[in-house]
Amino acid sequence: MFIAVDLVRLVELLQFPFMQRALLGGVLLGLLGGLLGSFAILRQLSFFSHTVGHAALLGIVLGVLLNLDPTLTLLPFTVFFGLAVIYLIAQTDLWSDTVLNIVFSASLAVAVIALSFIQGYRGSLMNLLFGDILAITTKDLILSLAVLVVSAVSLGLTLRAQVLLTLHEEMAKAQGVAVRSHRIWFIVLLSLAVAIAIKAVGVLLVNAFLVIPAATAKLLSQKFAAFVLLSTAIGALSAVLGILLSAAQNLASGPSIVVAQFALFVIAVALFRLRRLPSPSERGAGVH
Amino acid sequence: MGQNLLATTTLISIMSIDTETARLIGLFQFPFMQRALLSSVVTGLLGGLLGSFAILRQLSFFSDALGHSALLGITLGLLLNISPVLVLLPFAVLFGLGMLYLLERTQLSTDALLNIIYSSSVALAVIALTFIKSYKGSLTQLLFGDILAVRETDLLLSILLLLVCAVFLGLTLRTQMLLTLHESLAKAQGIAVQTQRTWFVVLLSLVVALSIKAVGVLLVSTFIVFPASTARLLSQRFTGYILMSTGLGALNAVTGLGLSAALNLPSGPSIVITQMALFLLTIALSSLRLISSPEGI
Repeated sequence: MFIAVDLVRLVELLQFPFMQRALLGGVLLGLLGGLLGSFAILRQLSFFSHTVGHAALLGIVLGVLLNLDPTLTLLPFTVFFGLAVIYLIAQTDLWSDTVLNIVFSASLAVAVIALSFIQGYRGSLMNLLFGDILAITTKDLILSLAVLVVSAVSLGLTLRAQVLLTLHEEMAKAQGVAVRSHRIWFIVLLSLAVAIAIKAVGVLLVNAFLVIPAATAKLLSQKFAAFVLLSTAIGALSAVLGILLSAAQNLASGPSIVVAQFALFVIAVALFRLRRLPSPSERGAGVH
Repeated sequence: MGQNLLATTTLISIMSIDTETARLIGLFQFPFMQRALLSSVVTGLLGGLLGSFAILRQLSFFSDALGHSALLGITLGLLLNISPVLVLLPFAVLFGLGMLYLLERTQLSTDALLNIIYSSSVALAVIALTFIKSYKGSLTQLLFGDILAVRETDLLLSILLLLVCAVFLGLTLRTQMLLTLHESLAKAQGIAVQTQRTWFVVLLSLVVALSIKAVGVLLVSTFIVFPASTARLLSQRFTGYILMSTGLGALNAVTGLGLSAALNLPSGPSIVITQMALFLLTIALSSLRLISSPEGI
């Protein structure tokens, strides 16, 4: 009976334009995160996007300080930041994980201190950290769609090169793939995706959009193309489930989506383990 | 020329700083301030000591992910009405061991797995925190820390942990060095690599858990990463590097705390800013070749 009441309330909620925008935004961001994430986790860029996501707080604070639209500041900021980080990693002889850690914590600390000087903004630090998908505007939707289309087209057209680059970099080089420019372009796309998703899920959880659906898909798929498509689909599915959960139970939207992603991941782990348990007949078949 | 410049700026600032100093000295008369000071020294020593091994073993993001996930541990403590520190310590150790176990079992890469675990923990913690009415306001404190809220129990625990770490690492120093720099050689020499690694992860988890109060879950890994990275640029020998990292950890924490008290800034971020400043200074000096670059490590 409780569920029935919840359902009625949910249907009512879905009549509101802000709710429809949130759902559409969730689907777009889920698709985008799943698509880019599938390449990113195989290229071991999970902590790169974590770093860009956390550092984005500094970008937002800069926007607020300069009195600019945060979204507009954030896009160039994350792209510039992402490229700078990649450059730094190449330049120093510290490990990439150490450099990433240094860069993100320094940006975060500077951002928090700067925020403490901006009167009247302190209260919405939580919004910046955990996002608010209900605040998505039509402009955000158009931007997400644009980045999604650009990503899908550019990755789709160069799919063979991307797959080679991801799975076997030496071979890609030997075959004359422009490894460097492909990699830089991917970093740009990834940084843009992080910037766009931040409004919905906040700087702390934005990375989940890239990592969790892709990891889930990886456990469930054997072929590369299927993996990419599955990851994209899981991204969208978990976003919708999360938003519905958030609306039905009146929970924060960003964390709800991540919980939905995590639930799907746990299911995938369970399936993976069940399937992977070698039955006696399978073992026999393997020998012959 | 550099010294001249330094002298001039110091002269100019001394005049305005005079009253500031008086205020600062006044502040440090308070017991909570003395506790914070002592706590920052101990936390800094701990982070620097463990960090010197951790960054070489590429555990930087392990401590970061553990820090983020600790939010869930704290939340559990609040829900069960138990002192957060008491929940946090076993939580951190379980997390560390759980991660080691998971990494061996799944085919996912370390970084992806760490990211999944910390994101989910943060998400669950934030949702759970919304159910705890009285606690909603101080989420910022959990995220960015408040060294002024350190109590005597926390301090005693940190000192105890520092002793344990120093004794453990001191007694097994040769083993730890070999394990860090040349794992296959360590195995060949019959070192119980697995056991040593597990012990180290347990200690690291405890250190992260105890440092959270001072800098919060988001910035706690800086205690591990910054002093060690700075020391690495400055030192040639392994033992010198460990000692320097430990010393820098304490120096950074105290300077950061002073900065926070003098300018009335949040303590966690102030410590991180100090760490960053020293790190950048070291990079600048080492790229100017004023100090030798590390070839030894």
